[in-house]
Amino acid sequence: MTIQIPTAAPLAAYDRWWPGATTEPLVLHARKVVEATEPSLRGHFPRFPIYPGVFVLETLGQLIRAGLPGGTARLCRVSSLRLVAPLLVGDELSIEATARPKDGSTWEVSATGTRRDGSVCATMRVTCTTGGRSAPAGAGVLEHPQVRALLPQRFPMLLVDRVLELRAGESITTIKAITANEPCYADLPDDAGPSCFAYPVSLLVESLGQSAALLWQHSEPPAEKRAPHRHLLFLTARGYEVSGEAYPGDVVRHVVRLDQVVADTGFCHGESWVGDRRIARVETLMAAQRPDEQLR
Amino acid sequence: MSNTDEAGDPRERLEELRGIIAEVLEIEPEELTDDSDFMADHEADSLRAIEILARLDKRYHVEIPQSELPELTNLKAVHESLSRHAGWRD
Repeated sequence: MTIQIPTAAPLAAYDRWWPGATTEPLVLHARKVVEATEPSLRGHFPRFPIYPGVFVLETLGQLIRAGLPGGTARLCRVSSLRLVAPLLVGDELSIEATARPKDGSTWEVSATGTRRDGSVCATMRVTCTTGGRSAPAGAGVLEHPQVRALLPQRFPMLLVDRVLELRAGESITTIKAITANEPCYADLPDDAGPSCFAYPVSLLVESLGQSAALLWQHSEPPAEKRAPHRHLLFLTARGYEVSGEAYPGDVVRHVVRLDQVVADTGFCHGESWVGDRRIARVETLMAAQRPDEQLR
Repeated sequence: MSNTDEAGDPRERLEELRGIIAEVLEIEPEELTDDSDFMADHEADSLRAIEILARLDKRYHVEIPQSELPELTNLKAVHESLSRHAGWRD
């Protein structure tokens, strides 16, 4: 059995897959029904849902991963992607892919996508590799997986991307990149003006608070000396001042300094920057770790 | 004179303390009498009490143990506790 390593994916791109020919060239099949409930259809397009063409490529990518030996194959070249007919809600995509080994770690794959009536909706020629991916560039001291390991928040409320600098018990510098795809922009009307895209203050406070939480996690006694099952709670903000905005495309940099730890409660102050512009500062953020049982 | 320079004038210190605590409680200093109750009269909660401890620690470098929190219910009690832990003789 192959152990699947999770990868980032826009959706579960097949409902089922199965192998065809098991001698080389390998043949793989996948099917996917386009459901009206597919979240991406909401934005593609708001008034006329069309299954995103790149999701046909996604189906092929996931099929290759599931079906080629090793379970790690991934797209490394798209020689040709031709989307010749749209897929609408209720359509069923069938993909047949033929994979020929090229060398020890790469495969050449050609695939055809058809709709239920047998008409071709897509043809693809791709190369995939079983080689490893390059690691993150390493610009930070904590990359996102480590941030995720330290914070209990998850999508869409995990608002720190990377830690740039960390001095345990003293200070932390983190970044949060704002994109137009943030859920907070989902309901803005088409005629929303530029200032409507200012990132919400509440989320900036949360992002700063999560940065403080990371600092606090690193300033605590070692895990074995702490009570188990504790949650870090954001308790108080005092003197939070907004002096600018962050917009899609901006990278917000938070700098938080730990002032005091009193009665298991951490006191910090901090600033948020976009480039050389300070957009917010806070005099005091208070957060405490409390055992789960105190929260019920 | 029983006061050292560090300890300062007891009356001034009490007034400074009144200001610090009033700020935490988000009230005017004159609303905070020597024995008005933080919780009953000023809607304080346990968080405010911890904030008061933190401010005292920061201002006077005096750590009042968390175990004394329940007794710190008014300005007089905080002043007494602070004086005791700071070794001030009023």
